[in-house]
Amino acid sequence: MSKGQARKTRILVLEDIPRDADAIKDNLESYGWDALIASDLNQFNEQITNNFFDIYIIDYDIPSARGSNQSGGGEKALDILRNTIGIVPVIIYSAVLESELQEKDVIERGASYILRKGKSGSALAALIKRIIGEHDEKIGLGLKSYFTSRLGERTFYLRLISEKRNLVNGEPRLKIVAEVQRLFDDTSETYEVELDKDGVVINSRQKTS
Amino acid sequence: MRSDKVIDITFKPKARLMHLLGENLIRDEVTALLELVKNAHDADAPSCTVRFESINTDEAKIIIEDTGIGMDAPVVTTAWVEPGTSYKKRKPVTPLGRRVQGEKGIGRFAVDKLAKRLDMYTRTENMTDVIHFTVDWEEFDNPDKYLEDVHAQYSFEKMNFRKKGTTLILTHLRKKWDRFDITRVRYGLTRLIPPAGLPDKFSVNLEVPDYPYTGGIVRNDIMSKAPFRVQANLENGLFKVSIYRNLSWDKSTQEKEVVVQGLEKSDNITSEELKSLGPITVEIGAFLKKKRGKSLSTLFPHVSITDADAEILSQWNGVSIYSDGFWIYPYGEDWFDWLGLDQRRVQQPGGRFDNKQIMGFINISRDKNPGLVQQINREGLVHNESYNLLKSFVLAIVGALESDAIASGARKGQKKIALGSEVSASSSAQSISSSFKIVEKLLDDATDKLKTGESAESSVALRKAADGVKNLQVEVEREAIMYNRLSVLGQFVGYVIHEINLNMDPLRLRVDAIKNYILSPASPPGETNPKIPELLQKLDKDIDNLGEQIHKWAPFIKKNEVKQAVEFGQYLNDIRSDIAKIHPKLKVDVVCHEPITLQLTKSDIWTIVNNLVDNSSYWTKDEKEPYVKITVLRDDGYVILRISDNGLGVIKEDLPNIFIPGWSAKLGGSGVGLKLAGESAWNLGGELFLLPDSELGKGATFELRIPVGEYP
Repeated sequence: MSKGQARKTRILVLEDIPRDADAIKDNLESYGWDALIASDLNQFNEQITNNFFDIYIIDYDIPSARGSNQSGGGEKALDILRNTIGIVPVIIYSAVLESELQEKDVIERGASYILRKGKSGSALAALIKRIIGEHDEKIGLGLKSYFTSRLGERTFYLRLISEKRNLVNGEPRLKIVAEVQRLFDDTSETYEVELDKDGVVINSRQKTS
Repeated sequence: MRSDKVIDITFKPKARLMHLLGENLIRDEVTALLELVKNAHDADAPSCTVRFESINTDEAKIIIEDTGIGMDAPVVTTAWVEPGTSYKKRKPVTPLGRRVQGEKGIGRFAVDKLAKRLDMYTRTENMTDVIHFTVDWEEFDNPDKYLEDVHAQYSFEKMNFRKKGTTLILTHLRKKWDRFDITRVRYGLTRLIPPAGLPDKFSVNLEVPDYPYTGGIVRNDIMSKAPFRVQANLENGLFKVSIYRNLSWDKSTQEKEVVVQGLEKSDNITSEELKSLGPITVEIGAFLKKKRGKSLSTLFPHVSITDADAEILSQWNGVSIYSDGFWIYPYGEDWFDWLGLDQRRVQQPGGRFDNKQIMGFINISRDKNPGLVQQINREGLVHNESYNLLKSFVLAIVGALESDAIASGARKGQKKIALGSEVSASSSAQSISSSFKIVEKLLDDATDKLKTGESAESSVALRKAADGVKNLQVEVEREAIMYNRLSVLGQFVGYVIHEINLNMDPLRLRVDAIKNYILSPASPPGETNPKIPELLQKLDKDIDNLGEQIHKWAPFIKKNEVKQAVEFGQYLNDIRSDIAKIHPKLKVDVVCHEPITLQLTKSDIWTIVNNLVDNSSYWTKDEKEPYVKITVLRDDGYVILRISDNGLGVIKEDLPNIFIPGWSAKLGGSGVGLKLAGESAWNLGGELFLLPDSELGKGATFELRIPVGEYP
């Protein structure tokens, strides 16, 4: 990503029916987001190990293993996400959750949102936009509060360069690299900041150029 | 004290009077245009062309062209220049015997209503030169000018012109015509011509190059599409009423004529009274159109109604009256319920048509129906005794139509008509009941004949009774199959809706994506985003896929499907090509060593094969070479259809469950497929089994057994 270019939101979709997966990908890309498809749990595992995604979309009713006739793939995918990456937005996109009880189970297991299939074509995108807004707001507020106290009353702009998630002692952490541009003396510094799941800054260090 | 001197003064009408008269005589521009078309008719023209040119510009013009008798100088100078002179009044019938329509001489006012300038070219058959007559109607707008101060010009010109006829060129139009106005003109012209067509074949051609789809020869064939239609002829006080049904959902009634012997004479009309009315023809169609915003094709899935027809029907209501082939305003306008049909329907909602549900035409003649007199303002008939008699007669005709519609079973509400099958639900029970009675009587007759010992007669009676029983059996079987299908469909209706809704998901997502690319500010203006054609192609496939899903249920909503001779091998090969489209990776072989033909319902075979192969496709998906073998053979009084695959097969624990509706071993399966296949087997008089051992050594083998003894 070149300097100054907005980073695209990246979305991983776990969907085993090729026709549906392709339609979801086409839809998400039309909104300017990057969408990657994992058609089974193996591909899903591979992607989350090697890449960072902003949002995860899981079709709950997928087989528990390739070629298997047993369901439970959605549950497994949720468990993997919660045990490795931590608090990330996960949308369960499903046609099979019939009752509120089932929905409660899925939420308790770690889903952030549930969206039933068969809604309007823009419903998925609307939910993603909401998630991006909430996420950016949380990080933005945390960073702004931190740099205001650190840099005093001086006015500055924050430009997000990268973000990465990991687990530290089982707790989710978000590592942000951001550029702080001071408006009055026209200088800028780059910081690496670590935030907790609530957007509170735990560590920070100035990066040397 | 009175002076002896009397001063004589003359009236000096202001030029504006022409406008004022025109305003009151002619309702609007469309009416004005129709008046000019009537003039063409009065000139004995076989045809008339109305052409709108450059209507979206300041150069807009209207050209009305006919091949009628044309006008010579005396006619032009009287008919056009002397307002109030009713030239046509002196000649009520044209040389071709047409009844003159524009007798009030309002053509000149019609032109004034439409345009500020007129150029008229006209020639009679005997003239060598063409008269070019011009009027600048703007001069009439000058409030200071008197009528006598306004001038029109005409000259004789040598020009290339047809042998006879008149062309009006109207320029500097007073109104800017748009597509909506043109549509109104077309409706107006359509209404001028009764659907049956005029006897003298007067035709009107509307040409609008700016809106080509609104143009063309004006026709009116809508009546032939009416599900219920009545024709009545009244002559010398006697009438004949013929009712036609065109219920495409019920083939047996198509264009069936029912002659009605008597009418519901609520007003006790006597033959003498009817005789005084004169000869009248009535044609009324009931379209049962009811719901606003709902397309007619939905209400009548089997009646082919074009968009143009639907538009006419949406505006044209009630019964119109035509005098000598031309429409009398306002009979047929949607707001003018001259027969009081809406009121009748309020009193008896289930048994009466309202004004919006029917469309009809009454043809009268000024000469032959002297009692039916047009009002002086040309709008409507005078409300006299003859008019009231006409109303009573027409209401009786409408009553006959209503009775027939009720008898047909169609007048039970829109929903039932739309579904078709529901209509027959009650009538089929009645039909079976009456068939039982017929068979009972035939058996009684046969028994009587046997008792009398007359062998020849008893043999005939027995044969008739046997035929009756056979017909009854066919009828009962057909109904049983239909109800069984409906019952299966009913059990799974929730699933069907859910499945179809889910299959619409890719469509919804892709339509949303296409919308995003179209609306995206990043797309260069005038250029198509390259993603759009790609997405449209995918959308096309999505629609095909949805169609396949819906098609799966088609046999269960098929009504009255009858058994027919089906050659198994040939039909299975037909199905195989369908399967190849749905399951391209699956190899399917059909093995049939001898021609086997059975009387059966094709859709049931389709359902069985389709669902079993669907299962095979699922269970063989991890095979290197997924394979299905369909075998047809005869065995000990049965025809056997065997479907085997090389998939995973059925595990022992699942065996008791596989035919239970809602149970499925497939992940995300509905438990519908085998249930449907089993029901279809029952419809065929056979049974469906899962064989303990697969014919292919692995996988599953299902077998359909149809006893051929049932079908000798």
